[in-house]
Amino acid sequence: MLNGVRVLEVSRPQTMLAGRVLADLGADVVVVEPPGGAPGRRLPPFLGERAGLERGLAWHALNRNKRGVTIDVDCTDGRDAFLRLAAGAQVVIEGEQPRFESLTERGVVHCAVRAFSANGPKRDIAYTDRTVVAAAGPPYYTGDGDRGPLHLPVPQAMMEAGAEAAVAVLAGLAARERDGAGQRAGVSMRVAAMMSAFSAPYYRGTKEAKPQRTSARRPVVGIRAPQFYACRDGFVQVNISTGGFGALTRRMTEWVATRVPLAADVVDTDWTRFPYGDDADAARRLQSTIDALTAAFAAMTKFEIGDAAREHGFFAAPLLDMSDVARFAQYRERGLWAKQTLPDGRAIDAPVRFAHFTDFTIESGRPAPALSEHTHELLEEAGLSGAEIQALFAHGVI
Amino acid sequence: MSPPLAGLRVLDLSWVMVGPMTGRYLADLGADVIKVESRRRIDPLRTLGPFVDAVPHPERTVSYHFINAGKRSLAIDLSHEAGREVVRTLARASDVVLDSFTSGTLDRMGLGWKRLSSENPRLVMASTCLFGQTGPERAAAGVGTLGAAYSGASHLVGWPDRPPTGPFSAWTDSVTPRFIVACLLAALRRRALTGKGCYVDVAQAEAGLQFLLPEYLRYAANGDVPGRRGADVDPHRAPSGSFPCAGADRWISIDASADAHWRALRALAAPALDGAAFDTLVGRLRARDRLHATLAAWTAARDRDALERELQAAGIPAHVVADCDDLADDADLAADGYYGPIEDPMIGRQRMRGAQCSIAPAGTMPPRPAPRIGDSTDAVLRDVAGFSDEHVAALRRDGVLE
Repeated sequence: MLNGVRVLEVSRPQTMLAGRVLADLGADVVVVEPPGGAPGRRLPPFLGERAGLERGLAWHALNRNKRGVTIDVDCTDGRDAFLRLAAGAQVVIEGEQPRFESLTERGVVHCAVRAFSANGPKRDIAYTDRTVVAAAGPPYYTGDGDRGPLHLPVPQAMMEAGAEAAVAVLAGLAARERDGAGQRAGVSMRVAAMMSAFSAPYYRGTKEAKPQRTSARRPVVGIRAPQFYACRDGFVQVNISTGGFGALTRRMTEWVATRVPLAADVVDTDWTRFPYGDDADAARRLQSTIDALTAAFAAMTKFEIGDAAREHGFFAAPLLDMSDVARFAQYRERGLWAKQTLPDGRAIDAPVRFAHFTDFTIESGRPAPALSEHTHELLEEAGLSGAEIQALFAHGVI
Repeated sequence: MSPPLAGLRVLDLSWVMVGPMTGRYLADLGADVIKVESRRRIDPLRTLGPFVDAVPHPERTVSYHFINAGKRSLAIDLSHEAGREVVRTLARASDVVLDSFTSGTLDRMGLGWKRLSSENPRLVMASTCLFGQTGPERAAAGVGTLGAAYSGASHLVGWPDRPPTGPFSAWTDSVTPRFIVACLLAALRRRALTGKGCYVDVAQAEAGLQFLLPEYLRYAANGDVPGRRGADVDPHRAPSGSFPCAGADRWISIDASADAHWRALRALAAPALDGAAFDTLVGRLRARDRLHATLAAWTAARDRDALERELQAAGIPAHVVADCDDLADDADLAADGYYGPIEDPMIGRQRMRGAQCSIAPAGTMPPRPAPRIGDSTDAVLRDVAGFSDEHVAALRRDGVLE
């Protein structure tokens, strides 16, 4: 898809997914690291729970299909080497404090993925992924109200911003190919991560009750329906939906009544216009539905519940753990997985094919580069002689 | 200069969030996005709040504006064959078609990829649903909360001593659109070079898994099945967490594990964090619970916003844990013009975000309202489908237009 597009990615955690998506779609992506290795190599978890620059599993997941070069871009000679590489590139991606924005004057699409707005008061503040995600809103509403905010156990700002930057680069590339001019693209990690705050920024001024930190649904006739129910081997996620999705809840009450006792008039509830009638009756309908689901699910496995939901057409899903994900027949038969080689030589199934196309397949072509793996080959392609490359190495530039 | 996708026409047959947000990305990049919807079978998103003045009405939900900003709306009844023929006519005049039906639905209506691409070989089409267009469970309906469960995310979030809480809201709905947009833009680039159309099929649960890859590899490479870790999501860092501040449910996120950040925090909080046990990273990790309790005791009486300023001024990674009011009003967001005013006949003047990224000099579109149902039906049929006024009137008389 992106044949002929050369991308230089000056690696930061928030550039990794961007470069990988572009590489998966066929771009020739070169990841540029300092001689000591990119910070992404130090992100947990690590292969075999042992530290090492070649053992970072986040690095491995987010740098496949790229080639790697080490250059100290902060020194004059490193900057020169980088610019030689950039002469053949259409795209340059950097993190905060970008060094190569002026390449847009030479027709390059330059994308800077900063933590905050480029012109705002927080542009230079220290940050980590955690503090940026906190600034974006989701943690305040994640968890239980009587305890503190929660995060996903994977840094999300780098993921959100990486995905956003892939879009920004491709949009910039479209403008470049149309206008023949370089483009400056800017992505804020905070803004990217705000996507997962959904409509939270828009409650102010609406007079609506604000969201709460709870996994339970919004109260209806004073009852907060739980969203997670225990089953025999874990948990399931259930939506007792009303309004636009109310018909699915009706199918769920019909199904649950075949497994546990549930009053006929409760099964007959019209969830598309719920709540109706007097509050006590509405509360009885909702509470007995919750009780019936609790009893029915307790006797089933999570996969049995998922199967029932898909067969009968209601909204319930097993909470898959990563071993369940690996064996879920839907993913396997659809072709999500491709073999990816780990630094210890083992091949694992990786969820490589995040999209399917009529006449293109995302391949797990090459594993993430070892530190400096392609330095010689890339600088040679850029016109440096073997002796010059060795000289740069001898001086600690590469 | 004009936005990157100026002149591109997109027919958006999707509803709720993933498809419509994909369409919104294209609209923000300058495309003309036509939302095909129905008054009788209303987009469920129009039934979800928040509603302006807390008055539920299909034209008053801010969520709909947030997810469909900048589109035009065509109201049509797709249960009529004549309505489907209108969509086929529009698809022949479009560059991109988006849909989020469960697999097979569009084929049954004669609006599937095979039919549309045979009539428009340059068409680029993206379909998205919970599990995608292939595989044994392809026909399953789902929303982003189910996507979160199937992707593995929900299992990973919550306190170990309690049931999971899952990530906020319909998580895969926010993750997925970027992957689809990237694929579409790549396919459009290829089309510009080769003239060839393309079909893109993205499963929302699989897209969610992409944001969890390190935890998936923890299993696939190391054999560990990760579970809920509460607030302790990065056991290699200390101090690192959300700490309470003065007031009700006020929190600040502090991540001062690196030596320079730790020394700055210790100086700022002196003497609260003194004590030889906290001198080194290994010491802090071994005394992590005590360290976090000590830091929490120090933050608990402090004003959240003043503390944020002090910590940031001292070079320490810190930020208030933002709630919806904080997100509505923040100097950082104001600086790059993230929000702007929109005017809408139903909800008046409101605040709405613009594009998710900046692109210069080409530019992106400013914040715009979403359409009212059917606000551009006639204009689209005349200008895009090329129908005469008589033809449009006949469709309306026959109940095809809503």
